Amino acid sequence: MSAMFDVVASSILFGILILAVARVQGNLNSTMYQNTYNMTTQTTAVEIARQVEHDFTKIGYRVTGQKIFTADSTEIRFSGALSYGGPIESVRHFWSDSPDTTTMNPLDHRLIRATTSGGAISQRLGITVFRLSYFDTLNHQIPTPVTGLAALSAIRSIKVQIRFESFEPIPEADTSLYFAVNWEKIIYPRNLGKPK
Amino acid sequence: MGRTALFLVLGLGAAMGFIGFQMYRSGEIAADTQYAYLKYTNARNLARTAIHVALRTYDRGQTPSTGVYTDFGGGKFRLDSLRMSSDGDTLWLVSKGAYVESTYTVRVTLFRTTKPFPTVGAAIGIRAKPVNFTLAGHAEVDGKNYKLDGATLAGSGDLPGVTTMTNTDSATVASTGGTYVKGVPPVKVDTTTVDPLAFLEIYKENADFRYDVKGTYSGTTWGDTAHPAIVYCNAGDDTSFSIKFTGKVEGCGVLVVRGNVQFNGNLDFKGLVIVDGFNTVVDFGAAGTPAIVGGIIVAGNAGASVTLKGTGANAKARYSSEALAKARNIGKLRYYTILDWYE
Repeated sequence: MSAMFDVVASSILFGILILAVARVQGNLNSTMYQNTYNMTTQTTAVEIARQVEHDFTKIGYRVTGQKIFTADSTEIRFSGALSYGGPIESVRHFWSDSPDTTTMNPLDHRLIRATTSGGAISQRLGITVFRLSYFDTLNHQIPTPVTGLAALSAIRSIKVQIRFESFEPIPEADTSLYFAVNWEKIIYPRNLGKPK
Repeated sequence: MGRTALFLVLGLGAAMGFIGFQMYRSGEIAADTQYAYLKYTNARNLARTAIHVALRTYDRGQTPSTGVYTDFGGGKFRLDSLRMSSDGDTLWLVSKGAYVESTYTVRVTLFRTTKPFPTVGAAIGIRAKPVNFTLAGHAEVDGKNYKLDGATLAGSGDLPGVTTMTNTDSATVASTGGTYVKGVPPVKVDTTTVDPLAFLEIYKENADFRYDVKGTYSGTTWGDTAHPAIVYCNAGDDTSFSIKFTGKVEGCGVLVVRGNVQFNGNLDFKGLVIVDGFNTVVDFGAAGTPAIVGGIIVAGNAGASVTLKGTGANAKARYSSEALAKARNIGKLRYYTILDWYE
């Protein structure tokens, strides 16, 4: 009788332990997912920040004449050599019009980077905000879209605002919540002010 | 039963340990990524700093050194290479910034030129009317183009000795100066003499020597031909000569005099002298041999009174394009245009 009671009691205790451990593991897994999404979003933000800085600082490098050809709130097209002493390329960055349907995030769009040498690359990065603003030599904002050679030639700095969000919502939370990183910077391409 | 439970607990413990390690790793990777970006931006800023430091070194009239790291803000920067065109107007610079293990290189081509500089059309160009002009003793004004030493003629580029705004003032100067005013021609009407007012703020902001307090200053040196300087004397309109310079006063560069100033003793200045004010009274020299080699522009809203004296040997106010070039090329008065900037 006593042995039977021990078996039943230990089974109950074991079951309780299993449930507790399972719950802890579930929480750990959730946290791990969150960390992973968080890390992925941050890493993506850094990589794109570096890509944008790399390209935008080359605007007008080795170019004589017009340097920026399209300047809109979600698109820029310019000329510049991307490597030291390299060939002048046409470079275009734009945020696609339609959302990326391959992710669970309904707000993210793809960022397309097109260069003469590398072609167009559609980047799936979870970008939910991609906004470009343009400023002249007096730091006055130029309304977008910037049109006309005079206005395009007046651009001296570009403010880039990007919001990155995770592809999937935070697990076990409100499904509309996503991990996000905001990055913004005013870039002064030094070659924009040089003589024609 | 007990053994099985033990294995289960150990297994679960190992699983949780693995999960915990993965969590730690992902957090560490995120931190590393952020820190790598920080290192990259710091290295970039340091490389840009190296360029700016090099240009400010030029501003001080010195040549930047290459290949020497400067520690700054936990990182370091250096100018890797520096080339200059034969005429000195184009610079090629390569700089490097380093922060922890991140390095960043900037390659720059710059066009170097001077800020707008007042055109000097005579040994003394007067942009004021009426003019009270006095040459006493053995003072001499010569518009012929002298070399920097003030004693050797350049051989070309001669200008008038004195220019004024009106025929009446020109006649006054010609009559007063007589044979002591020389040039091609000695005296001339020139209504295009530049108003120096637009340049004064630049000189004031960049002055190496400023005199805003009344008093008597003696034994003063304002740079030399290798390191020309900007001097700004703001004496106001006090006709009792609130600023006096006595003894040996020598220098090279740009000398701006606003208001009423008296230079006594031996003045030896090479470069551009601007005298500006309201009915300006300027006395150059008494005893001694004051010498200004370069060019003088005198401007006054309600006329000007300029007295050049030289009771010792001949005083000199001589035009020199070479001395003016020294003033024009003061490092602080240069600016740079980007021809190419690669980073």
